[in-house]
Amino acid sequence: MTERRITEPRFDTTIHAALRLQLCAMLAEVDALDFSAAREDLDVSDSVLSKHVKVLADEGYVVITSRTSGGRARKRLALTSTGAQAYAGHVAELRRLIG
Amino acid sequence: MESDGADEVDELSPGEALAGTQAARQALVRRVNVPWAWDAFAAVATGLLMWLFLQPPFTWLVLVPFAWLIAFFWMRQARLNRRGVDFDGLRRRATRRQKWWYIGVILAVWVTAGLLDPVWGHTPAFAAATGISTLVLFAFRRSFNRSVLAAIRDAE
Repeated sequence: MTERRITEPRFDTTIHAALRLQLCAMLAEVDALDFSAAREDLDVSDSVLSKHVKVLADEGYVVITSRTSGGRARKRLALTSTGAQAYAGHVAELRRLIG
Repeated sequence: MESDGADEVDELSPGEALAGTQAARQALVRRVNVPWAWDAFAAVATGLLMWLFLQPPFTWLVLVPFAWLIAFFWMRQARLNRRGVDFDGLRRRATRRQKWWYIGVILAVWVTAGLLDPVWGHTPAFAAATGISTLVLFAFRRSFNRSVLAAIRDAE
């Protein structure tokens, strides 16, 4: 993100799982990301990604929307402001731990 | 890249976790696309503002170098803020808050120009300013794009 704010370091166990952390890192850079694009870039199956997305969505970190493109429904993922804060805090904590 | 269990928290070291985020952003960078339509809009908008700033009593000879600098830094900053940056299958980021004031500024410039003088009387100056901003864009587009790719890769 180009907008920099002072972020309170806070370890977030929901985000810390490798795939969820990577997904948040990608979502933090875009308004929304197609589910299929995320699946390809993270090199996982639909079901695996769905499970992790659900965890993030249940926590209020990610929202899932649908849109129709070329007659096909496409799922899109976006980080909520809560999710963005949690991700920034988690990364800040990781950096603090590294020193 | 990941285990199936969504409930388990991986035993990642902080370094491994941060490396993972960097790898994810690297993958995302491959999808970056900056459409020309946006750049054309940016060039005209930049030209509009430069045209307003270059009204008398300033002289073109003195201010043209500054106009280049204004155009360069403004467009570069716009790119770094992801304005006009699309992703393959995604939406561009960071236009949420900026886009409305950006459009507002352009409209305000037009209205102000219209109130100050007949717009058509300024056509040559406007064309020149737009030409400069377009040249800046043409000359530095790759540089701007490299900047935004680096910004995404190195984001924290």
